[in-house]
Amino acid sequence: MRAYRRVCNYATAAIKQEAQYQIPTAARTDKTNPADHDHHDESKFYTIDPKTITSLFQMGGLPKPFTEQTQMFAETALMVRKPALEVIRGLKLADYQKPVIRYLLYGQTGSGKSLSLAHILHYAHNSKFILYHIPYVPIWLKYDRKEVNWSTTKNGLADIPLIAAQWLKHFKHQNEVLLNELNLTTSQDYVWSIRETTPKGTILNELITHGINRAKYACDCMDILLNELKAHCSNNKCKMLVAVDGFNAFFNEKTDLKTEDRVRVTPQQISMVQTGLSAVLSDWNNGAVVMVTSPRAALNTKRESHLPIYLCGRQGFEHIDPFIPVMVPELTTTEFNNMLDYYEEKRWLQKTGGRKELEFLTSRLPAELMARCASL
Amino acid sequence: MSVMQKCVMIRRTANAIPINYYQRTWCSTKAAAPTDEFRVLNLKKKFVPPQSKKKYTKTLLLPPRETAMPVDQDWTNVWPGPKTFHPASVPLALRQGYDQKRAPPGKYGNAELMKIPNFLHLTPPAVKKHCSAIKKFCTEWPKGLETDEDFDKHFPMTIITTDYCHSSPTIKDPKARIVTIKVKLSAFDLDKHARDKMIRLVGERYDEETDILTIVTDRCPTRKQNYDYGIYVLTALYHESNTFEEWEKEKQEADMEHYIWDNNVSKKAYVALVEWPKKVSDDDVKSFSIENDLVGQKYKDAVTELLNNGEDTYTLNKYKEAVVGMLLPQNAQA
Repeated sequence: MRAYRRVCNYATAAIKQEAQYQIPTAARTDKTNPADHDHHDESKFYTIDPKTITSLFQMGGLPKPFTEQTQMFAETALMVRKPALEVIRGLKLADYQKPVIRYLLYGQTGSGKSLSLAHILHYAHNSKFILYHIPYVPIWLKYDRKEVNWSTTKNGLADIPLIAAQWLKHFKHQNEVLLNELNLTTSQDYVWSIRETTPKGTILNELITHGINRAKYACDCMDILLNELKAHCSNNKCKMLVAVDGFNAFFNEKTDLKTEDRVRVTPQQISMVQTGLSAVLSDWNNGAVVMVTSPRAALNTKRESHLPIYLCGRQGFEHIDPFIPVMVPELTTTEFNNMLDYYEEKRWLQKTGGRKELEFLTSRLPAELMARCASL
Repeated sequence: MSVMQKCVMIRRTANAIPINYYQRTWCSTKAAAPTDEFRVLNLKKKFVPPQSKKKYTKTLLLPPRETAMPVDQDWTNVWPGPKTFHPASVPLALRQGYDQKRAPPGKYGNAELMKIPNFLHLTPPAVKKHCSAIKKFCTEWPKGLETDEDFDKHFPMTIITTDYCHSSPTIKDPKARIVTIKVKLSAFDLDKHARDKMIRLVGERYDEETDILTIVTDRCPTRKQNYDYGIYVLTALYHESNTFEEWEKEKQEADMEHYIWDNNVSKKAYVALVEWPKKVSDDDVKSFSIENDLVGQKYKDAVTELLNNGEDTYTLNKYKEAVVGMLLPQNAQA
């Protein structure tokens, strides 16, 4: 009798659960082009097609945990959030005859700055901007396993040739189609060595290929590429978006890198960093600059605040002033619920309820929420 | 040690007596009568009977005073001045301490209550009584000193010294020589330069929030000397602040006490933006005026506030508003 009752109880419980628990569906928007997004789509998800993902973020740009999650979910869905919309709106409204406008995304660790940048990059890619995208500055400057040489062309600066070549690959991957379409050429002769020259009128793609093949010149190639693109933009030939994630790492006190003669270099002594700093200057037009400062990009002794001047320092502030600071806040209640709906829809979150507790534990930070929900 | 022993003893007796039962006993202090015989040196060992154990007599005490206290007594007469807690004269069911299993220990034989200072002599009626007693010595409150502002105006300087009373062979205390001089910096007649120089000279002694400069002198052996020295230092500081030395002209941007927009890169960036696509030189930047330029002035204020007051949500938002108005006028209109 007892066993029977137990079986019955179990059976009824299972039926009950199935009857009550309907898997919720997250609010989504059909507009796949970020240019169409407006405030009606706020806090909704939109899906980026895999082709765009491979062409944009093949070699970095999305945070690693997020990429793993997208593989699990078999789709890349980004939430349309206010900061990205704000920047996209600015990009739409801006007067491109005036110097570039600089946007700075800032916020706590895990509040979604990099994904907001991904959203903006997607918009820029769709709107035929050339992307001068530095995925994450600290990967240049951290981990002392890199070949660092003193530059032969710029006195006192150090090159990281292989990393620069890798970056050129990334640039080429993102912009090859557009560059072929625009058919941009070099404006002057570049002499690399006695046997290697790039004559005036060479297509930029070729210049980049040269940089990739001859990694020794990759850092110079990066710099030249930037100057050429700036000039082309100013001549109304193309539009460019400079995007730098982990911008404040440019102004860190030290790096992990050592040259062959065991001299520790500072970020400012690296030619790629100087190129990056020159990219965010507003001495060109027909483009825009989006930077992301992140406490995680700073040295671990300097992560107490997420505010931009604390992270970049006075020098960094003066370098990018005037800029439009855009705060990336934690999720709002609607966004938070929609995010959890999405996780439940994807069966990532297998238990309902406990939302208040999750809200308390994660302080509504999306990255924290993702990590917390992984085990639930 | 002696106090502890006493306590233990009292506690024992208190425990031994049944409640509401007090017995009076008379103890004899008489010693045995001396005998007239000489003492004999006893070489041959003799059996000495062991001394019998002293008989324990109960010490019985008077009932505690608190039991006989009338309800409407004048407390100030029972406890006229500061003294250590005494359980029998305080008619309160006090408990103090910690016991793992039982209630906190009561007041009898409780050293914890004796250790802590008590304010039983400072009950409101006692204070009232005291005040009424010394009232006849008070004079009228001076006119024109009704508020704190009046005090700051008429007596800008405060001098703090401390006297020490001891019941030791010497009445002198080395701490009595220390003199503290407190003065509001706004009480001095200082211009912008002098004020800045004064603040730099005094360093940590100036409190920005209250505008008070504090000078503590303790290097001389007597109070009078310390006071004189403090006043001398204050005078010297005042005159030094008012002089402008030749080397002060070498002040650079990093030495500035405040962020001044016109001397900084920010102005150059703004001028370059306005004059775009013309290239601007340093002279252009210097001669550029933003007097009739509302957007520029808003931007200037925002940058100055951001860098002077430090960044927070408010200053960053203000900066953002100003920059958006400058760079994206279309957005501001919409």
